[in-house]
Amino acid sequence: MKRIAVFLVTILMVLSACGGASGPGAGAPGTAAPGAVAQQGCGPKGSGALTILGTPQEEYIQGVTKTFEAECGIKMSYVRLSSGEALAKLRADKAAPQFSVWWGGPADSFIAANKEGLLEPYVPKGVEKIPAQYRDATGIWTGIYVGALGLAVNTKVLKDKNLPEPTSWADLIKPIYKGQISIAHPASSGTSYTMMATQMFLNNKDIEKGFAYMKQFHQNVLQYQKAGAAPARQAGQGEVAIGVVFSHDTVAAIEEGFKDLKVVFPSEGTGYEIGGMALVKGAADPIAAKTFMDWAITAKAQELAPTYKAYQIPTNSDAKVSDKSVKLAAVKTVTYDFQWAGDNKKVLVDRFSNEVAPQPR
Amino acid sequence: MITTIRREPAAAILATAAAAGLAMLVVYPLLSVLQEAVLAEGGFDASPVTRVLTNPVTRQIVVNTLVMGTLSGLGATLLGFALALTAARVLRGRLRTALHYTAMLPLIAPPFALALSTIFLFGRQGLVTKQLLGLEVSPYGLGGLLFVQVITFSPVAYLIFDSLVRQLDPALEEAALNLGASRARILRTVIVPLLRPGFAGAFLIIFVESLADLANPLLLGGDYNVLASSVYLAIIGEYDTRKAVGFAIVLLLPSILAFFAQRYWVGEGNVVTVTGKPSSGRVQMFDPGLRIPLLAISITAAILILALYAAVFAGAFTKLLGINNTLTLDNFRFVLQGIGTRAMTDTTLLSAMAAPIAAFSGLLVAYLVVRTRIPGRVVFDYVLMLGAAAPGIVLGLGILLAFNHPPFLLTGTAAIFVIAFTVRTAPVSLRSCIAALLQIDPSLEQASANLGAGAVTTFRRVTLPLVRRAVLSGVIYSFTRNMTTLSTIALLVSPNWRIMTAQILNEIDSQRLGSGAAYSTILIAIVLLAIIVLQRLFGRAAVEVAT
Repeated sequence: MKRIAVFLVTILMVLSACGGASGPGAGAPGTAAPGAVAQQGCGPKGSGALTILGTPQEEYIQGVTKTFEAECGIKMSYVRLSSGEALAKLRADKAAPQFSVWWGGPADSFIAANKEGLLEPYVPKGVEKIPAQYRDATGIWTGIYVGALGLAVNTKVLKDKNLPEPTSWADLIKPIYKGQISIAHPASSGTSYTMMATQMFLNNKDIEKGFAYMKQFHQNVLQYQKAGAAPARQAGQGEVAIGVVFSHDTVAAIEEGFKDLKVVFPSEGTGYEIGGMALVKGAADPIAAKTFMDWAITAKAQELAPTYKAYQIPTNSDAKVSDKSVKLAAVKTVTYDFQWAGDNKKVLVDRFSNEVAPQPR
Repeated sequence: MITTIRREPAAAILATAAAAGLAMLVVYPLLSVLQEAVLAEGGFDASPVTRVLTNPVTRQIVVNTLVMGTLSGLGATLLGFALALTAARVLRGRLRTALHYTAMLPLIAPPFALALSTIFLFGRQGLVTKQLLGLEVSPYGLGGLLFVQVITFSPVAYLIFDSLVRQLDPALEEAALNLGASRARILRTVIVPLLRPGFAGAFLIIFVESLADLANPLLLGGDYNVLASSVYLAIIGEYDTRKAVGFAIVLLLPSILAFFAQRYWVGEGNVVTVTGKPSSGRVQMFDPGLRIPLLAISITAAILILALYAAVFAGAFTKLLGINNTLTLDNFRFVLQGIGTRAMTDTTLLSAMAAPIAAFSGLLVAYLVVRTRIPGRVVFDYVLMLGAAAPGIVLGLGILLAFNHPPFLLTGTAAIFVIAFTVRTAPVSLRSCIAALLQIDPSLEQASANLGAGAVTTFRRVTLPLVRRAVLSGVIYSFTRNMTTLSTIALLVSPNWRIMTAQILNEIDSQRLGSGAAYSTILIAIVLLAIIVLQRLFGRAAVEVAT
């Protein structure tokens, strides 16, 4: 009996200690009091706390969160989810949204989310610095970066297996690459959806032809990943020879030390993304959310990206472009119709999930 | 019922409270899954379930799941049996102790840890397979899954056989030996038949565990899809609840059947081990014909287990294991500067909160079942056991569906995790408390009552001290299990509370294997530390009962 009492007391002590140190609930106001005065260069703080859904790679979100907290005095926490997962989460939370801003990931998913009534228009202050083709005119989403699809090719694995280096989308469906390709699932990943939509655009939006390609492509895929950038690391580890990812993810993986990787842009033309950002409808803290969105499109905020190995091209025309970013003008791209890709996302993804992904290999 | 209330007012109150709790926390979530599966706006519509069973693609997923469960159950049972026999009949002294602890080591492996190190060691670029032996082995698919699951679940079988082998009366073997039987024949005709309930029990428990496994199929599945990951992906990728519950119901049925079949087969006999009859015989060690193959199996398994753990640590402390083996603390820096620190405190806090609640819930229900005459008391037992019988992902889905709307809006709160942890782990406390209560002579409590003590006083001053050890083991089991479970909480994650296993999943999703290994290392350290601290506080016995 006495020991149980000791045990319970110990637990209580642990509880109170932890409660004091970390505190449950990131929503708990941090340093800022409600309605506190705006910090220099930042908008109003609202409740002083902000929770966002982030889709790019985690270091980048982490870095942006820390910098924003320090600069604007708003306590920010994040959850990283891939595009499809983020969309599913917003759908699940519709009645009581836990997130105020959705930050990053291809704009297609934002268009799809808007179709479901999950977003609230907001045009961030200073948006004129962002070229019109990189944002939605009505403020449903605003582009924060641009990236192009590329193949993450592991030259060592190819050499080991005596395989030629793939140079085109057509190469990827050759049987010699069976089990040597990694890509995420388009239901969970915006990267992968961009790849699928690209096949539709290469076939002049002929969905049947696009799916015929996807079915053959499927035969060579080892396993569908959840996060879009994962295949770059998987190729880097040598688990597969080829990862289909955004080229900036491959550059980041090479920086991390996966030296055998190189970026190859498919010769038929590659797809590209505009990384979006949007205000969530029914956001718990719209004021802090807007302050963050205003901040996130500034040149200074966008220039943070390379510090965290995020080599996307910034959308703010004043922002310096890292020399590690892809030169979009030098790469052959498809004509990517974001509205079409967004409008058809649910149909295409469902069809892929039902018809392609379960096919035996 | 009326007479019960008159005779045992405290018991009646207790029963009402337990009934309310069970209805709310176990029955309601599972019914929510069922309701979502068979009711649509137009009325009865079980199409989510029938679709899973009729569509050839999803039917393949069902077959895959059952094949995986069966093979994994067989493999892990045989491995556990071999390890237990080696420990009991081949090795002595320190070597036996070393094998004993090594065999139990996979119990504290966080999800993904062993699958991760399997990729490091036996993957396509694996240290052993590719770089040492030059083999082309792919761990993705059924083969890799079985390899990891057999090692992960073998301790379950090992523990069952370990306790059974200890109970074997050596006199029987001695007798057979004196009659001229060879050791191999004794094994075949004496030992194995006596252990038969062990085989059935171990196989069924591991079958259930394998079906519920979420982490390994996510990382190593390749194109081998199973039900648990299908439930997970239907929610996380699409938030398609109808699709998810279809898979969930199909997954739930074989799990519950196997679980209760196991209980029917093995019964409480497995738990009550005190016979008090001294044995006369001497333990007969095996001769070389048996010793050598058993040793070969056990040594291989032990080396594998140790190597897999070593690879987790190596992965955590190197830049990119296999690519760049420079030692570094970068992985830990990333984890601890990021969400990791919060995840450590949050997960430990929630696990510690749920552990005593789970243990005492188990005790209260055990008391109801064993000591009161409430009509229908056995139902309490079966309902609470559902918490362990249902696969974690199904339980998590039920809790998600049940508590994501008013009046029970708990999404994102600590309560939802505490509920999930409690429901999941209270059944183990229930079993050990029932076993403990059955061993206490009711006359002790009757004496207390005769001396004028009320039911509450008797419970507090007589019963509780006697079952203390069972309750403590329930606390320890619950805590370690809470810390390392993924499938139960995978669908409940929110920005307010960070769970370590969910963070590991996050790292694995991005193929950030180094940070995944670092998280796993931290988690292993926390669990080991907790076990050591609790051992110091409450003595070794309680910990051994728990593990």
